[in-house]
Amino acid sequence: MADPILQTIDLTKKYGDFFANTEVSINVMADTIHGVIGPNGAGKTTLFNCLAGTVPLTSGKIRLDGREIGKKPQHVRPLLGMGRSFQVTSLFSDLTVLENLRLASQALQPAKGFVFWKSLPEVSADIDYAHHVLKRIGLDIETSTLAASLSHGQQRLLEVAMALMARPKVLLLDEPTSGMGIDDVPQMIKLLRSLRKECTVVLIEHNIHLVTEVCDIVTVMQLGTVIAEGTPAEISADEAVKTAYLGEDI
Amino acid sequence: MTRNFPLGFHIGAATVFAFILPFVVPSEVLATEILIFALAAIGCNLLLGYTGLLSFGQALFFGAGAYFAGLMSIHLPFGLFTVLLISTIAGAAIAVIVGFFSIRRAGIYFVMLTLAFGQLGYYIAFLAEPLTGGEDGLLSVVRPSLTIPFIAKFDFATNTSFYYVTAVTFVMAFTLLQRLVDSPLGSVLRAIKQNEARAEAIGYQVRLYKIAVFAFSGAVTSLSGALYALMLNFAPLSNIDIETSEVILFMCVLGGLGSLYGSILGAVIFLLASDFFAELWPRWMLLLGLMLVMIMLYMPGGLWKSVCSLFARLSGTDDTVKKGGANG
Repeated sequence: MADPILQTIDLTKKYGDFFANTEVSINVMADTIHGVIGPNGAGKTTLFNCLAGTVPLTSGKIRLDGREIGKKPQHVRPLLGMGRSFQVTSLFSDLTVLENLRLASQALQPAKGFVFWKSLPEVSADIDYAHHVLKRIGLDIETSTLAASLSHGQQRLLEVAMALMARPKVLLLDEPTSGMGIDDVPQMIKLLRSLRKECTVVLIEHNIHLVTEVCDIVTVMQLGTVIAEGTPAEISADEAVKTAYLGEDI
Repeated sequence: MTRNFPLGFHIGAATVFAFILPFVVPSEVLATEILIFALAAIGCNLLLGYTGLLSFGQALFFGAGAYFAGLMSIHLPFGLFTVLLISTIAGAAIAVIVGFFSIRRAGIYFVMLTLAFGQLGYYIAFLAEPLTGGEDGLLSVVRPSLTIPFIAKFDFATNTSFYYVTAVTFVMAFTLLQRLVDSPLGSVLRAIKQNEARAEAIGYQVRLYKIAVFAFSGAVTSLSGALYALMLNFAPLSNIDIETSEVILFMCVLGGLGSLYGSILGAVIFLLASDFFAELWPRWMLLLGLMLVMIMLYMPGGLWKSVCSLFARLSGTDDTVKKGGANG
């Protein structure tokens, strides 16, 4: 079997005395959509933040493409191939759509951001790529629109587009459909399916239906630990998963 | 993306402004003062208007520039260019230190740290009397001359000649900083102001950018302080006190955040109004305060924004593209 592109080994995160994640070990294979689901408080978002580097690990390892990144600061991870989106839309709202995307691309060359003696070029590889990504995700809008004036569904797509600008090996998506209108969800599902061709996606989701529809492999978490892993069909049949969900929801 | 004006446009605008200014304001000294404080307000705008960092310690850089320039002019045989250059670099160095520590905290704690650094500077200047003159200020500052080897030597004893020194410095610093705000660095600063967490998440090391913008702000503020000491032939202790920080901050906010032209306008209006009211009534500060309250209340985006929208309305071009209304 091939090596996983993203691997957590005994990843543990404590907040004070509380174990938000306890020895979580997950293998994410390349070019798959890997879902992480679980009821509220299962530790999905903590896991996500550890992977993205927003919070430091208490112990354990994270390997991205064979390279240990668990101790790398957040701002370095996009450069190593780890892209992320935010659960709550987090754009540069008073900047244009194009500028949001261009900034995400420019970030890949850290030295470029300190150039103060040159005007921003009107054409650049960053801008070309931004147009490419916009077309790619099917967001058909004027690029001079301010991010703040997009609809919520469009903002969610732009959120994913910004993460894609970093040409990630692994794309971490935190509830990409959260707060989306029912009409916008199919477009996101279509986008997620098509992403498989270019990168690996780790999808943190609350919505189990979305996960069963698009994911190849699903990891189920409860109370900070992994309780099951398998294909959507296997997960649906798993007794422990049923208890975890049904015990709470019904 | 907003289209940037070419550099030549900014050079031209600044040059025309600096050329006309002494003919329209009551005195050359006032014109000099306007250009000096315009630079200081621009320094403040880089932090607050572009990066979202509210600094109450700008007087530290301003006062430091004044003392550096004053001390060099008294004790060292440096020419004008060297004095201004060293003051600028020293200001940047101090700002890097202040920035390095202050940005470790966010929000109100950051503001308090800049204030504390400012006060620290004030007491150092106050106590280091043998060097700075303490409460009396640094007296008998002389304006260094400018020597072009084998060609000429200029001194700047008259107000007119010193105005031109200030004007040339102003145009150069303004052009450089206008370029900065239009540059890739400027774009990252705007991103940080908008959404710091996202900027960090897409790969910008926010801390370094904040230190960098502190360096530029400290440099230009210190440069303006240096010019001020040379203009007055004196570096008063008040240059480094909290009131100077307030004045600089006020000019910056008054003119409008996020536009360097706004900062110039802020300095012009603040100083012209002070000058005008001071002749009317000994309690002129009251009038000035009242005027500032009115402007803040009724022109919340600052003077520059009001001027721009007035022009837009007069010329019939509305700014829907800028406001992003193109989604219809």
